Amino acid sequence: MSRGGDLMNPIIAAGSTVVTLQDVRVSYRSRAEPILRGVTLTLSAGETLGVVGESGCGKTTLLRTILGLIPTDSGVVEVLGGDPPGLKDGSPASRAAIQLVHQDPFASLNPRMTIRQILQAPLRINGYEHSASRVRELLDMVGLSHSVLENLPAQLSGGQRQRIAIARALSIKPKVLLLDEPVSALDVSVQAQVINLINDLQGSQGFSCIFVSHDLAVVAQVANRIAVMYLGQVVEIGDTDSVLTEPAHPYSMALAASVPSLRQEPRGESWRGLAVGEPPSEMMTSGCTFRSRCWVATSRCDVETPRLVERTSSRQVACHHPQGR
Amino acid sequence: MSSLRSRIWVLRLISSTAGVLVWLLLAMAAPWLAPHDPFLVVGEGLAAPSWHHPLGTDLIGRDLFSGVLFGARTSATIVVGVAAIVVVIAFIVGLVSGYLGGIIDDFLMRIAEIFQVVPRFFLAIVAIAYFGSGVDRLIVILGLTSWSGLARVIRAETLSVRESAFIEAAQLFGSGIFRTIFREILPNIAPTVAVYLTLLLSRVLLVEASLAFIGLSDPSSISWGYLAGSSQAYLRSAWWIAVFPGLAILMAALSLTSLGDAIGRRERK
Amino acid sequence: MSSHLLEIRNLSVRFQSGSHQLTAVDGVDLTIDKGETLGIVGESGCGKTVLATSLLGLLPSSARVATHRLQFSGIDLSNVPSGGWRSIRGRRIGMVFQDPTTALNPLRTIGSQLAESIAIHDRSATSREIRKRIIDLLESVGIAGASGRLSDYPHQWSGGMRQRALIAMAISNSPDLLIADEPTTALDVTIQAQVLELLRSIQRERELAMIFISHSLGVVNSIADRISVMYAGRIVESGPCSEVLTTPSHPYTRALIDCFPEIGRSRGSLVAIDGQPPRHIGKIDGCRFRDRCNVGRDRLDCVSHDPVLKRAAGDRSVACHAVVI
Repeated sequence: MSRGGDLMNPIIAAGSTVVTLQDVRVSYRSRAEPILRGVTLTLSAGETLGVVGESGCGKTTLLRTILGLIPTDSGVVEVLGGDPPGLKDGSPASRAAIQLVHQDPFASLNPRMTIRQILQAPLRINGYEHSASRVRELLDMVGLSHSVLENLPAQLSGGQRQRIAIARALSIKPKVLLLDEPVSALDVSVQAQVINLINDLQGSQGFSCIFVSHDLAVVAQVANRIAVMYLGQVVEIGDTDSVLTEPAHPYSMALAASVPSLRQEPRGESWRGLAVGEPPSEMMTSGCTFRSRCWVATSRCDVETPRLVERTSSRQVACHHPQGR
Repeated sequence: MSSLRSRIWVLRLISSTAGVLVWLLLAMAAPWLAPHDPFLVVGEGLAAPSWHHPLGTDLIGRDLFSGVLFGARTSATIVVGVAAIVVVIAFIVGLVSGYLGGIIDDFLMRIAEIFQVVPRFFLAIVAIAYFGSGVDRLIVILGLTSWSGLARVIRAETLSVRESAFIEAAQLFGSGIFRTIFREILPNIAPTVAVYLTLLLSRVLLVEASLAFIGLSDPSSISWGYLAGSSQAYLRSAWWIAVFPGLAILMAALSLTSLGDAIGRRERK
Repeated sequence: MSSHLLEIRNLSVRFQSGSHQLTAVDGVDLTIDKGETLGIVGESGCGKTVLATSLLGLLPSSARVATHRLQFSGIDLSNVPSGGWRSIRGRRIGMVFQDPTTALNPLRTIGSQLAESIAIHDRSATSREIRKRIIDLLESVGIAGASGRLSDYPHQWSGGMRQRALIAMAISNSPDLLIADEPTTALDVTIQAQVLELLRSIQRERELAMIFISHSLGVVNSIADRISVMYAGRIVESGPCSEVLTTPSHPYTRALIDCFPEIGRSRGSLVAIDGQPPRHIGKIDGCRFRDRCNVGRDRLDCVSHDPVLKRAAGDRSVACHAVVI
């Protein structure tokens, strides 16, 4: 492949925006309740954006919307300057510019294909060199021994399978890599291997990355910026370190305080257990979705839905009573 | 799986495959193996099994051993012929239906229902009455009335595999419809489909034998069912005329079902 | 007579499958006293769940248990007569397992399941007494308005509430020991924090001994007084939780700490452990952790001798040749 850009492979200028979501709303046809209730965020070239939230926050739906697998009810989704690729339309090249690593390493590899076949397929389809030596290079890239080439996925461990999935996704040189809970199904000692691998690869391959996880500590290890989601909305977004050390949204505080830690004095001891109760079972039509669990909620929170507002140059919060400075 | 059960499974797999292979080999080699033309009168009628006629003779003195060998040929021809028709139609309908879904799926499944609802045996009788009883006609009739069950199985399997993450991954890196169906989905549904196919074919064999039993087989080719059926009146005295063809039917059908069962157990292991 | 509530000496559990024998637990020693929480930490395949089920008599028939001592409150658990477990399980030893969805019968109401767990062990209780006890129990585990919720079915309750119901069932007959196997793993992290707090307060009130099993060091740290680290069927280190986690002795413990993702750890500071946790425990000479250990990989005694758990200073024990005791 030539190093210069072409129509299918524009060179992405550093600092430019590769993915934009503007007030995106998504609901499934079968349900009245919206999954995404107005999500706004951007991904810049070369950065890793961590998306964190608990079940029902819509983080997986977010990824699938960016890929164009789910249609939006309203709002704008822009990927690399164009529409999301989707599955049906678009030439293979535009689809290949953004790739996904699935959560379950057991399900994302065809159980009846050998590792070599699994890795060769995307190369062949997209017109890349797909020789055995190229496949071996891919295995080297993710730190796997060449002996796995003729194995079936069932013969590999979860960590090894996830590395194959990463190698496959990166083999066609995507500009954007989406990772859906890539380490959640792995043992903690193996999690660290894969986390380190992702960090290294991003440095060497230069892709932009969205890393979705329910585990705030894991996301802290990979992300430059973090977006905290709750029930279909981004409630806070900003630089990882500052969001985690000085969270402004009450939910971010509760989330950070709930993360199990090895410290003897857990971070933000005073924040612990502040998010009482559970996510509401009935849909709220107005106001802040977090208000039923929030200790600083007022009557304003009942009626007025907070919007993402810039707090500092690198932080946005959707809250009527943001905490901290 | 414990090692004892594992060994039993291997035995079962080997014996059923051997059964099917022996059947096919005998079918192919019948013209050379059979000592006599099965239609020729070569001995006394109703002669018990002897050195000259290992399986005895039938009512009018035709050698039963040759009859059984040529019967193997007929039944194998019919089963293979039906398999060819059924596999082609069922795979096309099932894969397309399962993968594309929507209106195409509804349409194809309505057609499959029509074919499924038809009572196969009686339709065969009517068709034979109308079009004659040649082997080729029988293959077409049985083929057309048997594909819909297999198509449903293929469709169901395709539907479940289609939702897998690895299929989505394939679509995301640009795998087109044909490649996704044949390279990604097909290898994953093949074992289940193979199981169902062997069961289907053994049933086809039994239907053919039943039709021949009541005299509706092709008169120009020997069929096991015909041999058994033609000697109904003599069962008590000349048991060999019914027993040997009957055993042949039994073993052929059993080999098929056993093979299917063994493949199924391997997948469940 | 032992002074400990539960004393285990050299417990082994093997599974017979045809001609194969799989060892899941290989010579485990541990003790627990009244009112204390012992955390058992290990990755998948280390045998911690088999250990827990062996204490409840729930092992499959293919299991072979061998032990020098398995004493609970004067009862020999290795030799329980066939009807004997009914008076122990649910009555003297309570259990809480991982998935609240499968542990509750979806076809019966919560109230009836709780009632049954009480009625089995207390035949003299009237239904009115039982009803009152159930309501008190549910309120004590944080389910508000319990009297109106007894006829709810499990699917109507959230994951967190179901787990609370399971905890209520486990303590309904005031057991002396509670065995919790990954009780919060399937829960969202803010709910997990609440359930952990609940377990802590129940334990304090009732002076309950608790064995808390988890794959997460962080979760165990937030609840356990003492910790035992398990690897490949063995306990490799034991001691007071805060001490072990601040000054670990065994290389595996140290490695687990180094690869634990934590808010505030800098990016790229996770140190991964090579290889993966063993799936089966075969016959290995020498230490099982040797091939992943950066200390003992080539040490003579690590290669030839399997280290035994030995007492160290204070209340600590380690199974390692490389540690000076």
